[in-house]
Amino acid sequence: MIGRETEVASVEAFFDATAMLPGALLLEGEPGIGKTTLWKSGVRAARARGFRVIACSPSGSETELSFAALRDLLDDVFGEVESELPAPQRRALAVALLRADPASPRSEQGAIMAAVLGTLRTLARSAPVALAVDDVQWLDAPSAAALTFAVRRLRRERIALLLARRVEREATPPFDLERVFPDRLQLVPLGPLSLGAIHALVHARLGVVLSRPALRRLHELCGGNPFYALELARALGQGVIRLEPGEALPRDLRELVGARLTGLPEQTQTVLALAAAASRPTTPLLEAAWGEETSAALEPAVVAQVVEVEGVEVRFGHPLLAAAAYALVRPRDRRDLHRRLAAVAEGVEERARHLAQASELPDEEVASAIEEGAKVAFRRGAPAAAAELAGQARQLTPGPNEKKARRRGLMQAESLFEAGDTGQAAALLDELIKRSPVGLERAGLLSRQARYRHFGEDAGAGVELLRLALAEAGDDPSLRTEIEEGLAWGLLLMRRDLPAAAAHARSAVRFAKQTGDQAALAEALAAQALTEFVLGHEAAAPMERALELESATLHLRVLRHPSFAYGYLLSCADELHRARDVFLHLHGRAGDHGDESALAPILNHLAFVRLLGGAWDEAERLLDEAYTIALQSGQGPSQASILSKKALLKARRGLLAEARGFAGHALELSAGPAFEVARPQRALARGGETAIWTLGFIELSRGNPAEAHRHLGPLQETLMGAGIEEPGELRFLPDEVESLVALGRLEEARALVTWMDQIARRLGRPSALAGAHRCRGVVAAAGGDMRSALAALEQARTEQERVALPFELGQTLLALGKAQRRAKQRAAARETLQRTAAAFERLGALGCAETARSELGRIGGRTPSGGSLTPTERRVAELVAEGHSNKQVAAALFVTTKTVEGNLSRIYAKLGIHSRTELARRMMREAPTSKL
Amino acid sequence: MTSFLVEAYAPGSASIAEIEARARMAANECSRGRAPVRYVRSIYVPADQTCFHIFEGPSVDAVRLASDLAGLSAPRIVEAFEGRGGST
Repeated sequence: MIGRETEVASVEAFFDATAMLPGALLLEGEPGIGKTTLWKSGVRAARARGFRVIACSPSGSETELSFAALRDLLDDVFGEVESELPAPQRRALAVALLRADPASPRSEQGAIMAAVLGTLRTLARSAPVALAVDDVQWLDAPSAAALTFAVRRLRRERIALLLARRVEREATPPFDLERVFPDRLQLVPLGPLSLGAIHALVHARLGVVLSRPALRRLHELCGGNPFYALELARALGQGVIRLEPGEALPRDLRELVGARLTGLPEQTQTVLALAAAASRPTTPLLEAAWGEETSAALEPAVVAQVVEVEGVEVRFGHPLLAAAAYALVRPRDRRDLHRRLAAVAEGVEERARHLAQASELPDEEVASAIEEGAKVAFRRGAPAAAAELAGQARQLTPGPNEKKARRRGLMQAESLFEAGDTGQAAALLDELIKRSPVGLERAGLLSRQARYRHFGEDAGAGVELLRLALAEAGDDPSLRTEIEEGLAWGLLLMRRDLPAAAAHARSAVRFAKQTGDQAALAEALAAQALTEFVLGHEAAAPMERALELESATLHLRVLRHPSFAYGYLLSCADELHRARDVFLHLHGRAGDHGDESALAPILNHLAFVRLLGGAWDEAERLLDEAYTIALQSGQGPSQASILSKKALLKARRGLLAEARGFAGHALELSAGPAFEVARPQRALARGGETAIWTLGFIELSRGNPAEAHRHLGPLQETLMGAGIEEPGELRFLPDEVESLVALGRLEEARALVTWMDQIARRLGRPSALAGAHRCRGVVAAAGGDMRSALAALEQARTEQERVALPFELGQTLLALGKAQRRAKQRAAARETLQRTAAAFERLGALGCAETARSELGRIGGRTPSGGSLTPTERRVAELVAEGHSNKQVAAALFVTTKTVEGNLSRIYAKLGIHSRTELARRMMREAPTSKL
Repeated sequence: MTSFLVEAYAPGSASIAEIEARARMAANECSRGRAPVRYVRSIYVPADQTCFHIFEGPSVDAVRLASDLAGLSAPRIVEAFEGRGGST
């Protein structure tokens, strides 16, 4: 390549450095500077080095055609990879590649994106892959979105991106490359060619030899741009210009290229404009649109090297020539060209695009056809394209058809929402609502607005909108189903008036049955099951029915599948293993469908199940993963909920300062800086519930029952006031009882325990019974009735041992051990408290283990010795002093090595020593030790 | 023998010494044939990526032959006249 030796070397070196993959090389420059030539050279270099090349070169006329680029890239490899893709991704990609018709009414955008990533990974397993895109600026938006999604998730795959982009002013690299590959993105700007290179180029391509002055003049005019230089040299060779001083020359490249085209016959110019307007011009297409044979008309253009015809494909020599051919035609004539292309277009979407460009004035037939194109684009997984088309259909709707215009506006809003542009969708809905008369249609818009603008951000405002919608919806079954269900979820989210929420859910079920829509019925039944469940009512029947209909909901977002509600029910009902299985399955399903919005909430619930089950390391890992995802996708309430769980986990581990930090952050996210402990509603609606519980627990752990009650009291009042009677929603109640007991408010504590007892007996649930018995025991002990206390706590132990909730078991044993010690049952207390300490240490709840050891130390009046070592620390010190390794000590004491290490750190600090040798010397000075 | 100026494209990576050596060898090669060509000197202008070579030979064709043999990418070969330089 004349004049690009350095750049060619850079491109070849990029493909030689496979250890640096994944990576990207971006060629940038003005039009005509030689990017495509260099890009093609790069493609050849990649092939020569054994890369599997998938390439596309989008044109300006394809920018609006959904997935045009993806088809070029992946159509040839689809057969190779389809068996490796999960079924939802395979189906969605087949639809995007026009190999299948859309089967579901919803957009499969997420599944397509996941499929593109899966395809690249599959290809890269057998050979390094070069993903080459010329003219990146012309990629259609859905293809660009899918590629951006995939590129962001590349980690160690051997994938090289070779991209070329026209840059006329500063712009950030495509596909988020600066952030994704900060050290592996090479920018290769193509600057002007030198005088010598320009001369060599025009000589090699056109056989032209220039005198020095002429060469200087040409170089000055073209600015080193090779395409411009060749156009000038060609014009010079034809005698159109002479490059003499003072000569009037074309102002710029556009004018020069235009002049080249105006020299062609008029018919040729028209056919060239038609080709430029078409996305993929072929001779049969042009003939069908033109109405007569085009070869003769194209011939002069072929001779002039404006186009080349390869088989049936018609290709412009350069995009600038296509742009110039299109620009030469008057706007009125351009519309006529698009009308002709619309008449022969094969795809509904392509036809819609041409019609949109053909129409200047409103026309119902045109608007209707464009609306059809929008529907097809949406179902194919291109909601952004659908939004654009729907907007054009709306603009072309004649004035009297206000209702149709609003319908198209609603389609545009739905597409914008689906494409992730919630702000614009909500703004458009506001406009449509203002223009709609009171009635059914407006009710539908209000219901949609509740979902777009409020749920997730402000459930209260959403509920208000839905109440307005309900007043105008009449008895339309579809609309009533949507609104009633929305109200059920909204009130549930806000933890307010749950009986009303359940009534709305039952109403939603009634109306859903009338619609015959199985998916809507499944969702309504799930809402009914959940609302009844939190009210403490029977929920098995609606939940089972919802699950039976789950297959009808698979086209919806995963959080709307009945299994999500089911998983939550199971986690409350002590069925932790089954809950875990359900959430794991949903996580896989979300991955298969590319439904990223579901991942953070699912991982959050899964983490909580693992937290309850005592797998704290796994829970922490899941929470970290969930938080990263929620942060990236801007899901505020999810972030708050995840941080709340993290706070609880830290608190249970005994890391109280860290726990407080996470809880504070969660409350800031959920309720803003003005969070009021006495009014927790806003925090409850946005994921802050567990954070409030955690703060109460922290205060209780620090021996501040008043502060604990200050947090937990309002929480209890709000939730119970809303009608909640499900113990899984009220796991903080035992901590509140302990706070009241510590404050001497025994009557209040007793009343709460009586209530807990009633619920637990009605449900017959072991964890609820255990909690109620434990609280009864604590209250009785505080009142001095040790016999009743012991009986209740033994019952609590029995019930607690029936379920796998290790932290709660530890709390129960601790309460029992304390009561046994107070009742002077020393042997029993010692055994219970040793078991308690060991259980907490196994779990990693070091603070609680320390509490248990302290209690143990108080049995029989024993006081800690050896520099105030606790009994555990003393035992560890003795064994270490005898020469046992940390592993041996851990095995002897039935704890983890980590626990032993933690103890040793404290021992060294307390005794002011630094080594095992020093420890051995110190212990030898004290009482004789025991043997392992 | 007439002097000719050969204007050739010389990309940045080219080594002037190597180009000179090739030009000299090519001229010698041609001289062994029917057309005696003598390489005189080269002037390299990096900013223009251009190298100007002076050859002496019987004709443009003979010099073109030598320039092609030397692998010079030479769009232009013209008759030239050199001054006598700084000597009096």
